[in-house]
Amino acid sequence: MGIGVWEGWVKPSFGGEETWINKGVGRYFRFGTEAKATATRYTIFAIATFFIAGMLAMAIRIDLLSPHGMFFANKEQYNEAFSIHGTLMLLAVAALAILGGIGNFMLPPMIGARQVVYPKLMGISSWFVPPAVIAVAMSPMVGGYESGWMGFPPLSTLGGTGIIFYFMGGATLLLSSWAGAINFVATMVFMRAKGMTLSRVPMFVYGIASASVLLIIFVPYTASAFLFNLFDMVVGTQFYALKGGLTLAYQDMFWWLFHPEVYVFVLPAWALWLEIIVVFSRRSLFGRGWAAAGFVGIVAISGAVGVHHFFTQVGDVRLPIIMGLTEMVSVPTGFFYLAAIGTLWGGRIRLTSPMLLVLMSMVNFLIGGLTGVFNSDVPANLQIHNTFFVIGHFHYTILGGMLFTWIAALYYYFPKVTGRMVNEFWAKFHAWWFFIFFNFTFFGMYIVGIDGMNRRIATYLPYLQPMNEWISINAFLLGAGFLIPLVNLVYSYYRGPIASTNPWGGKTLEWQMPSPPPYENFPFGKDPVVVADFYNYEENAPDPVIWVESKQST
Amino acid sequence: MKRNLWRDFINVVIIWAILIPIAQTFVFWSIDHLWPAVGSLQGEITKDALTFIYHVTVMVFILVTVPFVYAAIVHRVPLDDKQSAQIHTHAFSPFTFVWLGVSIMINTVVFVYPGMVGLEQLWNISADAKDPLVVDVTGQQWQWSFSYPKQGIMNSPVLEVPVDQPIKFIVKSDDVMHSFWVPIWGIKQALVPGMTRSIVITPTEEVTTDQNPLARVQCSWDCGLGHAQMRAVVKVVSDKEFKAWVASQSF
Ligand code: HEM
Ligand SMILES: [Cu+2]
Ligand SMILES: [Cu+2]
Repeated sequence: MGIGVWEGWVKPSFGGEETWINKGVGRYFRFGTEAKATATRYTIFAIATFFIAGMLAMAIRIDLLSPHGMFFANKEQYNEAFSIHGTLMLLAVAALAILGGIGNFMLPPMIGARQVVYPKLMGISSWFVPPAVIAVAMSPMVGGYESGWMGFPPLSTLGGTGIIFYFMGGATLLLSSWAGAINFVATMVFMRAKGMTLSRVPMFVYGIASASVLLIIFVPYTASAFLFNLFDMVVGTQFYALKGGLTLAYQDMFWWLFHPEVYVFVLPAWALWLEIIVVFSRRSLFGRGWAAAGFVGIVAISGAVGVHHFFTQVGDVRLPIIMGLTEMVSVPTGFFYLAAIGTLWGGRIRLTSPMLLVLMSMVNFLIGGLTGVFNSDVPANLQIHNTFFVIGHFHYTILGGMLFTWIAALYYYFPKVTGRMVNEFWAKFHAWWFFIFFNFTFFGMYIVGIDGMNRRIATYLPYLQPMNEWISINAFLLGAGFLIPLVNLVYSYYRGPIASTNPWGGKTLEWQMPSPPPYENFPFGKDPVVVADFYNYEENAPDPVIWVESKQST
Repeated sequence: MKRNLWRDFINVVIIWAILIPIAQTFVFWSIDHLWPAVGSLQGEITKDALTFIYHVTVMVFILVTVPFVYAAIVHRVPLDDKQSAQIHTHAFSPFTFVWLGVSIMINTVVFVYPGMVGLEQLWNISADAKDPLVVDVTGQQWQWSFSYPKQGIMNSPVLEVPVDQPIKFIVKSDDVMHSFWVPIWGIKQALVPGMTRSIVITPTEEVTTDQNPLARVQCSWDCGLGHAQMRAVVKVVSDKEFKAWVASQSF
């Protein structure tokens, strides 16, 4: 037995025989190499972290019910709470939920692969998550940190010693996404089934590919910035010890990744919109080329616009250039809406819970994206920067856009992964609950922001109280609502009605796996060959896949 | 069942034509009645930017959501439907070019106005401010102090300034990042430790913190424990009162 490190890694490294047990519930707790077990682990970690960080959000909102703060014993705790909330939500939920959870599970079968190229790398990458999450969540015990999820020096180095855990945890989580990205790219390059040409690969694969490219290019900068800062603190190096330019140098290195990172969050989500919309509209994908151009355009532009977080820090010719580039991102973003609307229009739309959540996330992301135009405009930014307007903006894009889609994908793939259906009524009930209270909560944040409430403040002036009460009460309802999908998923896992192999009628290859899928995705003896477009829903459309005898015997 | 997509499209246009004017009226109304007060030339520029983008984005929101919400309602079928929609992939290709054209156009417009124009105006006001009143602003954990070098006033905890005059704030920090923000003036400038930055603001409204809480100096860059309370009282007064205050401060 053991946990798998010995059998899988150490023993074979010394020439021993590799012995794995990839069966049963045990595989989720071991250092296994199976993509689907790794993916399940990522999903469970993401859900657990979402609840931990969500509880912190609730605590923040209780505190903000009163202008003087009514939950935390002191301001330090408030600062620690939002810092940990932000760090965990971004680095361990947003960055890993779709990529790690849905991506590891569905990407290999979608390209017709039985396995990934680097199963061990992938297996270990998921185990980076719990120690990092625990370290960040436990940081108050070693001094906490109050510099937000960005850890900007000099505040971070002067503040609580818990920042050490932030830098270590942050770098570890980044490493986890980075390793995952390398594995994705290698798998997409080497493991595609026969006939899976560039013009046939599913949209979700494009989404993961673009996100992975961004991660591979940009993670090293920011991970190094984390480590340099850590070295400054523990071994006395002087990377960011000086003020002035070097303060901004950290911010530069930070945004170098973290602006593209927001596209790492949303690109796979947008790709899932298209996957889900095509299936539930039974309509050929509209504007596939435009969507592909959208991925390429965003990858190309997003690396160059990090300075849009600097409008109040610098005051020179960079401003108009970065403003222009940032606003240009909206054009390729629009292509996803174009493809989505073009597909929906005239489709035969089945409003299942995944479809409903996708439509809702299109509405939410649109609000988030359009308020991004306010942020990107330099004059407007000079007023709203660092206010709750910005908090509203990024919660709309990440929670409203990306995490709505994540939940849509959980419902969508649940029958494939577990072989059972979720309860539609409660799924839809929660979708509406989520949508309504999400909007009530976070739209209020735009308003308090405009009214002069800046972010990261434990206390505020009394004139802001009514609006904060409104936000908090809706936030509690929003937060409580997450018990619905939790119960629904757990209950359906044991008791849900048995699902057929392809309950939604999707054409992409992951729906050709049995439910739940066997060890190497597809039954042995036959290999898929792609012969036509997956997104063709015209009458008499040819089957996209034929199955041929495997060459190698098993 | 055959759908008449042209009729649906006309319906969408009708809904646009109804919703857009209603929404724009609401936008005008909310700016007049709900928008917080603005009390500086620069604030007028940033408010104009926010207002213009507000109008544009509300319109874009309606243009984009109506078609797909309409489709989701009208083109809905029962969950057990198995038919395909049977529409050719390349239908409506003019639509894509209209989309591309409109999105590039809106981008260009927003970039030029309020983006470039607003920035130009802000820069011009600073450049034109000959011999402005100079105020040295120092942010430190967790308080503000204001010095008026020409008037010989050192480290005042209160920011008192005359109305209708350009004022040059030279901002400095010796510890961590802060940000100099007076919400009613509608603009902010970050303080980068070890660097000197400046910003020109022309208050246009006589107002004090007592009268309007938006007229306060509020640190708007997380600077640690006391960040939330890193505020200072602002008094925008007439030129005469300002001179009197200066006289009372220097001994
Ligand atoms: C469940 C509902 C949620 C509520 C009620 C909530 C509430 C809040 C509030 C009030 C703040 C501002 C704290 C402050 O500036 O003083 C905040 C900050 C933040 N939230 Fe959330 N949040 C929620 C979910 C999420 C999710 C899902 C994500 C991302 C995946 C997220 C990411 C962040 C980030 C990055 C920050 C910034 C932290 C910082 O300033 O360093 N939040 N949240
Ligand atoms: Cu950015
Ligand atoms: Cu501060």
